[in-house]
Amino acid sequence: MSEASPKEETIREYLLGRVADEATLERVEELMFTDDEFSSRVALAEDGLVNDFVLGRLDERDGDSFRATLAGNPERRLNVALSRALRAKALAAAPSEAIEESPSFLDSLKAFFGRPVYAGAFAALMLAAVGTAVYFGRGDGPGEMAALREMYKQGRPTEARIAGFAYAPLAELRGGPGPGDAGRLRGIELKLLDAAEKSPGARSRRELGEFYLTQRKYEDAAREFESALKFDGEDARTHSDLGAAYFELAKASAKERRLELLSRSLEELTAAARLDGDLLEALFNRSLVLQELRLPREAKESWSLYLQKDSSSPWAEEARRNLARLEREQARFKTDAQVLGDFLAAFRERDDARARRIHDETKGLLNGAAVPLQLSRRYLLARRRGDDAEAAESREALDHVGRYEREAHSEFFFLSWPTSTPAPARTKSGGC
Amino acid sequence: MTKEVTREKFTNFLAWLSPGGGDGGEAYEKLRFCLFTFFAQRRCPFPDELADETINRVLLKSSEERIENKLAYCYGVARNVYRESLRKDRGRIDIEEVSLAAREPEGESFFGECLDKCLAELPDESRDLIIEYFSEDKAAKIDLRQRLSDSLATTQTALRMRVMRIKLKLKACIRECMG
Repeated sequence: MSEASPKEETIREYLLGRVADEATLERVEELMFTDDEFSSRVALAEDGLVNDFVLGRLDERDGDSFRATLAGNPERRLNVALSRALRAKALAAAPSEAIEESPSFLDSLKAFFGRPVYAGAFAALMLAAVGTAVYFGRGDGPGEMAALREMYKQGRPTEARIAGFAYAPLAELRGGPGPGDAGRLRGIELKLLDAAEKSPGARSRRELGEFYLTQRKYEDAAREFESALKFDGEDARTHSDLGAAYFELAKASAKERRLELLSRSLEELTAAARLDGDLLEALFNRSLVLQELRLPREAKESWSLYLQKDSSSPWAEEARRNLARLEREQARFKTDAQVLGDFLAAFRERDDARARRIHDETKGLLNGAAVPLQLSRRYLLARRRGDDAEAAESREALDHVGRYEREAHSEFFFLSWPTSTPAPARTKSGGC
Repeated sequence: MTKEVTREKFTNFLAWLSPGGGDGGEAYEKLRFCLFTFFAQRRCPFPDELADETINRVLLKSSEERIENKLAYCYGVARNVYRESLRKDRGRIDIEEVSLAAREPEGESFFGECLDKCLAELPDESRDLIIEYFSEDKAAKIDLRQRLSDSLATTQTALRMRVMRIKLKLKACIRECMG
């Protein structure tokens, strides 16, 4: 070869769609087709670029160029989706391990006070903390935030949790501040802006961010939280709120941007959970993001983890509802055979709770997945084959469903099974 | 002779691509990657269709006449297909300018399900490697890739190659799973 092969930088520029010079473009293309080693380098650079994009390693210019190529490149979009899902799986696994390994707050407290030297130091620290609180309590910041929290105690503005805000149902139309509160909100905003200008720092920026989050100004909120993290990058609460802002922004965005924002949200919430494994807001929001990323297994694990830390608050009730919804959705994506197989496995192990849950998840589907329908079919086919054992098991399982329905819901529909004839009787609704 | 791509012609084409008895499938995937990249980087709206069109033309021609420099020939055909597409595209509406009211297909849920299934089919070592590769913690300031390549006693380039191959396997499996 007379000319030197293009450098990695040229390959990268080519893949980012930034080679404007036709001669260079043709040279890269020709080599890609004719030089096996060069073609491998292009493939490797392409994969590296996708990974760097997903891992946030591209600078702003490269990130923009890369994003611009996505619309016309389905192969690259699939690669990005795959890398994002792998990243989400890795992130979902990491903090769960850390949180499960970390001692509970109570255990840590017991261990702490078990050592007299720490107990004395703690008393001194408490005195200092009280003094500081009295001093700073005179300022506007905390008072404004208390007023803001008060305004949202009937209905919260975002699905994601904002750190420090008490539980309130999600306010779709009602429950939040009324039109008469606009003046108060404006007053709070001005004071928070003033505080952020006069004493710029992690706290003033975070509070302003929280204000914007309540006003559903997610871009502004994210900007303030990012700025707060420049002052204190180790503040779990700010990471959690930034994750919440990205999450809400994602929900309002088009698909490609949505996935990117959800990934960024997961990064922040994972960082928050790593910094403080007991920060419930971060754990709750992280579960929401995994759910929105359509990673049901990870989302379910994350909700379960949340419920280990908080099992009794109204937030826990929401967590349970989300968990139940995920289980219903997962059942919808199972094949009929998988549903029946799972049900029979639970039935054989006498795991009544699980067997009943599978039945509950599918009975409303009115299609082939419904357990009684499948058991009836299995029974008839077994009878036709002369497989008495399978027929008896199907029958027994069907009786089990019938008894459960009668006891739990006073429903006799599933008990209308014939006792002496092989073919099913007409049901109450008159269907086959 | 019919100008139609048949299974037999396709098999012959794979043998033509890899005459030394090597893996025609791998050579085909490589050619498709080059073609797809060529059209995508030239900002053609449907790079996959143009890549297929190029392959079809080369496939039919390769069964009719002797071609010396195969991949250079493929590049030449790709350039022709590209020039033709430019002429055709003049009358088309730019899809990017059309906003679609239809909902996105519900593919994402299946993607997650399929990824789980495909990850489970990988050997344990590959699955652990790919998840660990993507677990990079920016805050920890540890060069995970360096650590991974050290533990596998391999170079960073070899590590990237392994990651790329695992992803290729996953992509193929996910495509099949999603139908």
